[in-house]
Amino acid sequence: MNKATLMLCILTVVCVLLHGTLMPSLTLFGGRVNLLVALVAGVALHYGTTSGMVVALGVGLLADTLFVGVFGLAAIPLVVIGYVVGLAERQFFRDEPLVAVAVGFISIVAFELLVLLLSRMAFGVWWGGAFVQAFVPTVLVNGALIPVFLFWLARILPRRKREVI
Amino acid sequence: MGFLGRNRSVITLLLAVFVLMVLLSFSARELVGVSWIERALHRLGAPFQHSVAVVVSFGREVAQSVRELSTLRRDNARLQSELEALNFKYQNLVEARLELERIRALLAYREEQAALDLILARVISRGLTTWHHEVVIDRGFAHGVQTGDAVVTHRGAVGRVIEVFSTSARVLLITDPRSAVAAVVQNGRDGALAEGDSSMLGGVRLARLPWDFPVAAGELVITSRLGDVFPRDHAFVIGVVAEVVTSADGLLKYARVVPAVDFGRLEEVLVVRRVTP
Repeated sequence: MNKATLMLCILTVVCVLLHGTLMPSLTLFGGRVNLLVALVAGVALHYGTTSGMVVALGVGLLADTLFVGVFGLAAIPLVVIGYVVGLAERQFFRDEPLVAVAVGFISIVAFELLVLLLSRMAFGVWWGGAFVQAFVPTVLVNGALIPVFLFWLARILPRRKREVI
Repeated sequence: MGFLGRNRSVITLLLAVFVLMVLLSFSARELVGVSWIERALHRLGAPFQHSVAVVVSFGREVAQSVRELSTLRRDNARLQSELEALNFKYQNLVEARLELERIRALLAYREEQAALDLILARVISRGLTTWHHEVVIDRGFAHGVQTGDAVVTHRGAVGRVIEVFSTSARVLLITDPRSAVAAVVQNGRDGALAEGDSSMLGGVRLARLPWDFPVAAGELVITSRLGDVFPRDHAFVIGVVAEVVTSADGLLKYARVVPAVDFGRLEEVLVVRRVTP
C-alpha cells in the first residue's frame, strides 16, 4: 500500500466519522459542511476520475452503512460526483481557485438533489419544504467551505500522477 | 601676583577657621546640638542627595528588572500553560456538569416511570443530511434494544428504533416525514396521526384532519394508547399545536406541532423496551 492509498483510506474513515458526529454540531444557519462531498470532490480533482470514483464508492458505502441503512443512497451521488469532477479536472486547470469554488457548489447541489431523488425512490416520501429549508444554507455553507478543504487536501495529498485512460 | 598670592595669609586663616569650626561643631554636638553650618550644608546638600538617591534607586530597580526578566518570561510561559490547562479542565467540568444534569433528569424520569423498562442511551451519530431526521444511539441488541422500540426523553417522544446492531441502533425521529405516530390532542381526546412535517424542517403535523376536528393553537399533543410504537399505558408529549391550517377546499385541515423535544440538542435518550409476554 503506497502512501497516497494509505492517506486516502485514513481520510475516508475520518471524514465519514466526523460527518456523523462533529459536523452536525457545527451547523451554520442550519447548513452543515458535507465532508463526504468535499473529500470525493477533492480526490477527483487531485487524482482524476478513477481515484475519485473509487474513493466515492468507499466513502458512500461506509456512509450508507453508518447513517442510512440503504445502500446506494450516499454512494451513488458520490460516485457521480467523483466521475464528473474527475472529468472537469481534465478540462480545466485544476489549481485555478474559481474551479475549486465551482466544484464545491456544483458537487453539493448535485449531492443534495440526487440524495433527495433517491430518498424519494427508496422511502416513498417527499421531503419538499423541509428539503428546501435545509438546501439553501447547506449549499451556501458548503460552497464557501469546500474550496478551502480542496486546497488543504491538495497540499497534504502526495504528488499526483495524471491517470492514463 | 594673583589674588591668591596677595591674600594667602587671609585665605589660610579663613580655611583654618572653617576647618576648626567644623571640628568644633562635631566636638560640640553633644553639647549644643546641630550647628548652623551643618544645617546649612544639609539644606544645600539634601536636594542633591535626594536626586542621587532617586537615580541610584532607579538604576538598582532597572538592574533588578533586567535580572528578573528571564525569570519573568519563564514564569509567564509556565503560568500561561497552567492557565490553559485549567481552562481546559474547567470546560471539561462544565461539560460534565451539564451532562450530569441531563442524565440526572433522565434517571429521575426513569425512576418515576418504574413500570417502564427504560435503557439510557447516548446519541453517537446523526443522519446523512440535515433533512434526514435519524440518529444512531450507543445501545443495541446486546443491551436489549429491539426494532420498533420507542425512544423518549423526560420531555417527550423522540422516535422509534428502526434498525438494531449489536452495540448500536438507528432511531427514526418523529420529525422525519417517514415517521407516523398515533396521537391525541390532550384536551379533546380526539385521535390523529402525527407525521414528520415535510414542509417544515424539524416539525411535526397532525395530518388529514376533518374540517370539524377540535384542535386549536396551544393545545398539547400526546401519544395515543392506540398506537403500536409507544407503550399504550403511558402518554408521551409530542408537542404543542402552533397553528391550524385549513385546506383550500375547506374539507380538511392540518395542525403544525412544535415538538416538545429539542432535536437539535438531543444527546441522551431513553429506549423503552417492549415487555414481551
